Parts: sequence; C-alpha cells; structure tokens
Amino acid sequence: MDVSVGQRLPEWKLDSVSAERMRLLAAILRDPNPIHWDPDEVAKRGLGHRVINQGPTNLGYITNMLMDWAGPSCLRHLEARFTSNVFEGESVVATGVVTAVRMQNGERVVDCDVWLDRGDGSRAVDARATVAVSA
Amino acid sequence: MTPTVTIEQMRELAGRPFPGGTFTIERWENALLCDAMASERLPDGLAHPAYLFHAPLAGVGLKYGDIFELCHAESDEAIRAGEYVWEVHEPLRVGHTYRMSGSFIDVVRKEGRRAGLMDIVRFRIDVHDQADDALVAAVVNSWIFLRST
Repeated sequence: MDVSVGQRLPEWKLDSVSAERMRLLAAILRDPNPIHWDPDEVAKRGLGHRVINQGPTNLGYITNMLMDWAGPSCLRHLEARFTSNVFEGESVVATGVVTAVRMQNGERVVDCDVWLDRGDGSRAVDARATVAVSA
Repeated sequence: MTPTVTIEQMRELAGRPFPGGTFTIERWENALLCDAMASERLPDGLAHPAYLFHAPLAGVGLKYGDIFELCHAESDEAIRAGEYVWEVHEPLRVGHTYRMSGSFIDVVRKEGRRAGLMDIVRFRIDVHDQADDALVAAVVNSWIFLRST
C-alpha cells in the first residue's frame, strides 16, 4: 500500500444522519438521555428541534472511514475530542491526512489527523489515529 | 456560592477500582451496532470497534448512570464528553468474551471562561480476552461535570 506524509485519506460520507439509528443505539447502550430520541426534550434545552447524534456514532463514522481505507482490523490507536453536536438530517464527512509512516511492534503503521465535519463545514470530532497498513 | 461537591470529595475517586466483570459480543448485537454506525458488518468475525465505547463500561459492571452518580453529576445537562483514547492490540471479535478491569485515574477541577467551574474525571479500563487473558485493548476516557456556583 502506497502511503506518504501529507496524503489525504479517502472521504467517508453520510448524506443524512438518521433518527432511527440514534434510537437503536440508545437502546443498545441503555442510554436514557432523551436528546437522542425525543425532539421535545432537545427543544426544552434550547438546542433546536432535531434529535442529536450520539458521540460514539460520530467517532464510529471516523472508524468506518479508516477501515474502508486500511482494512477492517487496521485500528491501533485513536484519541478524540467532541467539538460540536450533529443533528438528525445533517450530512457528515469523515476524512483525514497522514502525518507519519513508521514501524511499531514489527508492523508498518500510519499516524493520521482525522476528523468528522458537518454539512455546514463545522467540525464535530477532532481526532488522531494510528492504523496498521500492509507493507 | 460553592458547588455542592468539594474537590476533596471528588479526588477520593482517584484510584477507586470498578467492580470488574465480563462482556460477550453477541452476533445479533454486533449486527445492530454496525447498523447504528451506518456500517456494513465486518468480515472474518470482527466486531465493530465502536464496541470500545460501551463494552468496557458494561463489562466492569457500570451503567452511564452509575458513573454520573459517583461523580455527583448535577443533571444530564451538566455532563460533557471529554477525551476518548483507545489503544487496540487486537481487534474485537464476535462471540468472544472479554474480561474488563479498571479504575478512576484522577480528577482535575478547572474554571472555564464560558462553562465555569468543572471537574474533569478520567478513568481507564483494560480489556482482556477471557480465552487467553491477553490484553486486547485499553480505553482511557474523560468526562466533564459542570458545577453550578
């Protein structure tokens, strides 16, 4: 696999974040926070009228992008900060840029700055990742 | 006015171990989690890495609400996700049972310019494959608890 510092990672896009998937994840996580499934509760908090995607899902989109690029077992390290909410119906794009190519524990790995941007261009997740790549 | 919980009370959490336990990645749940992540199911029995969000906490025997209570959260609006750090040595696999152990690391109280007083609580959970006890992953999470003043 050809990889070089400065290389842009292929984008992973979702045209519309789904409220149904938020409800599904809330059930899996047993997460009682109503901002993920009740628009009235979102409105009461002054956050608009659309439910809010879970942080894990926003980071999950970044892992989808990394796995599409480097393979389903590529992930070695991920550190992330959540910088803004993603709302039902918004589009999102996950991508990143290679910052280093090196050897670690006998395998070739790539360090990347990665992120998830909302349709309006604002950043929802800021992260750094290390993935294993084939030689 | 001072917050209802003191920094000394919060610092008592540092080093406090979680109960510990196991978590099995079930095929049906992985299928639903992949759907929630807008992902195809992964090949070769691999589980979606998003399991690292909830499996470690569930495996040590805690729900989100337990952490919020231990950290004296004032309301669900006074909780923010901080940083998430994952170290992955082996990918998680469907059908495997993982043994989880962990503890609170530390608590730092800060004054934010906009958010005001807050406690940043960090905890770590190690994920071992129960079959061979190999360490397959470790997660360090921080959560932010806003304090009214």
